[in-house]
Amino acid sequence: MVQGRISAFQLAILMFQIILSSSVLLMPSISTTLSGKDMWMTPILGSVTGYLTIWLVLKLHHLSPNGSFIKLLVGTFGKWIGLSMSVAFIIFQIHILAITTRDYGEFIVTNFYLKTPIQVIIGAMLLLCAWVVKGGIEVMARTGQIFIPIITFCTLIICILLFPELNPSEILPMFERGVQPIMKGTIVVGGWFCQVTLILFILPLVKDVKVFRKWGYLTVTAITVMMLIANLTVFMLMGESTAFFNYPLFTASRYIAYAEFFEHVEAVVMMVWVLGEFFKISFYYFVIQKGIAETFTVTKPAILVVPVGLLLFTSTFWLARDFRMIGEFISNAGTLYIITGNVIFPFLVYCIARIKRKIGSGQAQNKA
Amino acid sequence: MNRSRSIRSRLILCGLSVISVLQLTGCWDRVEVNDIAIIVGAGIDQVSANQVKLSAEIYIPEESNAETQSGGSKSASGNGKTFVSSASGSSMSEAMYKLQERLSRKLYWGHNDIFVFGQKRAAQGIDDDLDFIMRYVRMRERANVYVAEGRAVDILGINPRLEPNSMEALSELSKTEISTTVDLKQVIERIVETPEETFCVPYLNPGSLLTGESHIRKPNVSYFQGMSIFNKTKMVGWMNNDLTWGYFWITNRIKANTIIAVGHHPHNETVAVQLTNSKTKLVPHITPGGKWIMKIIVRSQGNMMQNTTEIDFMNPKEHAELVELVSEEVQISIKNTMRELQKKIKVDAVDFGNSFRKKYPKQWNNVKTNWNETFQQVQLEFDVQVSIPRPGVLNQTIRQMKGGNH
Repeated sequence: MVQGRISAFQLAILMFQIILSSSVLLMPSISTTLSGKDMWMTPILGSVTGYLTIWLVLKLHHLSPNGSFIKLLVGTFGKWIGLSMSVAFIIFQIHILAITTRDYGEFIVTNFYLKTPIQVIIGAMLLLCAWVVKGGIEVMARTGQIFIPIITFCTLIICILLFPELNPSEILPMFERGVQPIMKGTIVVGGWFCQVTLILFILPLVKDVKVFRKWGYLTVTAITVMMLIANLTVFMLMGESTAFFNYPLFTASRYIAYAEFFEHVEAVVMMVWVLGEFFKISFYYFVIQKGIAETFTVTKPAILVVPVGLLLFTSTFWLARDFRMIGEFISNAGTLYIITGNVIFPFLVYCIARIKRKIGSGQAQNKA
Repeated sequence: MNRSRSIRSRLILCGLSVISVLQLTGCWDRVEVNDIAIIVGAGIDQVSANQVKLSAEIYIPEESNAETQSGGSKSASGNGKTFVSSASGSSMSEAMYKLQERLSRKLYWGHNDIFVFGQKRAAQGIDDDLDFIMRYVRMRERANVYVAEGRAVDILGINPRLEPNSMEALSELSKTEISTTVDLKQVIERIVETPEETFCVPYLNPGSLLTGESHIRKPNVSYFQGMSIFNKTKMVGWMNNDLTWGYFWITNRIKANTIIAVGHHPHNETVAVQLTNSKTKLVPHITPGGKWIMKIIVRSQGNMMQNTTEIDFMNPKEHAELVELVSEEVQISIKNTMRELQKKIKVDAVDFGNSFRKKYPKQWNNVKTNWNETFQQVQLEFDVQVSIPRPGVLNQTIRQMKGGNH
């Protein structure tokens, strides 16, 4: 299969989009519910998770033989434990992707295609993603280079068009409810940032890993800035009522009106959402496919595309019956779940691998 | 190898093309323009204890065609380009369902800019209706909200003389200095952010007063009669146009073109100033003794519009007197409004609470549960200044010129 290789910059762009795609739309509501008027601080504080994850991922990458995380697991924990760990990790990622995909479908069905079955919307998206995944990471990266700037530009345009309606004093008073609510919101934002872990699987395909450190930190900063812009725009427009809406940025875009004819620009948000989720889903899809291929040493990973796609399609519906169940999961256990899988688990792996290596090298020295 | 590969890819292509046939049935959510009934305004009334009546002003698409064909002869008959249809139900959504039964086309809310609540409905509370309005996906947050004395349905279907329909007339008027726009977003925001769900929306004259026979607009009656005040999402009172004027000053809603006319004693002469811009700032203050004070700072500019007094605009000393006179007028109207709000209606319609909350979050937390009690005790300080930098085209009054000729 033509896996192709990408540059650090291309990976940075993809990373930028996979974090932002769902967060810009969903986050303002959740962080307003949790942090109230201080919701705009949460991306800044939450970005710490992003920086930490990048650091951790790079460390892990250097530890791994040939940059393969699965090989590191096997090398550290032995064949059976290592393989079952990697299977668990992949199932975890499938679960996260199922939630993401379902969220995507729910948004479209709630706001635009009220009568279209959600299966069709999700199925069509997965079909497209399967095509890209089959094309390999290079195709995905080049698609990203074309479309991600457009997505970002459209998001910014919406924020700029809302500018005259904004009321900056909405964010006062600061620290109204103390520090604890801000921390709660920050953890949720961390749940988005920690998805950076996924690049662990892509790094072996990057031509210039050495410069990725710089790009990685830069991307996290860029993501923070975009989140901040989106959060501030929405909050200064709608105040605490932001928490009422499922998709505040969408509601905000509907509020844009100029000169009685420049109205109804909410379709732009839909475009941003569909394109953004396309990158997120295909990135996850690719990682899952690659993970399975490495775990079971499949020689032709391309044959996995269709089975994985079917698995993803069905798991989006296994996962929850309705919007309420997903919402409940995301706002209760979801954040801790995703942080455990994406940060704590790799961190423990890193610690154990380091300790083992130290002991190993110590023994080697003793022998000599 | 190569051959089997090309056969396989051909098979895949065949499969894909078969799948794409499924898509030819079209989109599930296809809506044709000639299948929808576009709502331009909606009215909500209370008909009995638990029955709500939803009236919709619906655009008639054929009308414009017919008019161009008949060369405008139809417009004289007073037939508007919209019609009003209403239905009752136990809730707004049920009423909408019943309303839909009567129409051959699907109701479309995407262009609705106006919600009018009848006085009775407003007094009962509008939170149930707001839940439907905000939840229903096609609604627009920018739609303006009004309350009408009497029934809302009478406001719909008025035939204005200048605009194509009454909803257009209402939203245009709201943009001018005589009223203000309050849209759904603002209402929801105030409901969430104020401790007792306090907000104001423009209050309309009863439809029966506005129209004569066959719904033609009476030219001599204004649409607006002030602002209605809601507390706990129920309408608890209203301010007449004079008090509303003060309300606009306090809440920084006063717009350019507003005219301040002062009757100057002894002979009831007039000084009139047309505003070019205005800015009101509320500066809250809590004294160590626990007194809540609100300082209302108004900085306005306006041009001389009429001056029938003896005061000379060009004379520095007398100019100051002029400024004093006009500022005084504004201050009095603010005072009147505040007296009404603090002593009679006893509701913080001017959003002082928010200012205090921003500056004194701790003290605010203690009083917010019964803020309206504290609001009545808030003392006021004023710093009103209406500067008049330009005299208009004349530099003297006619009387002064005559005096100079002597």
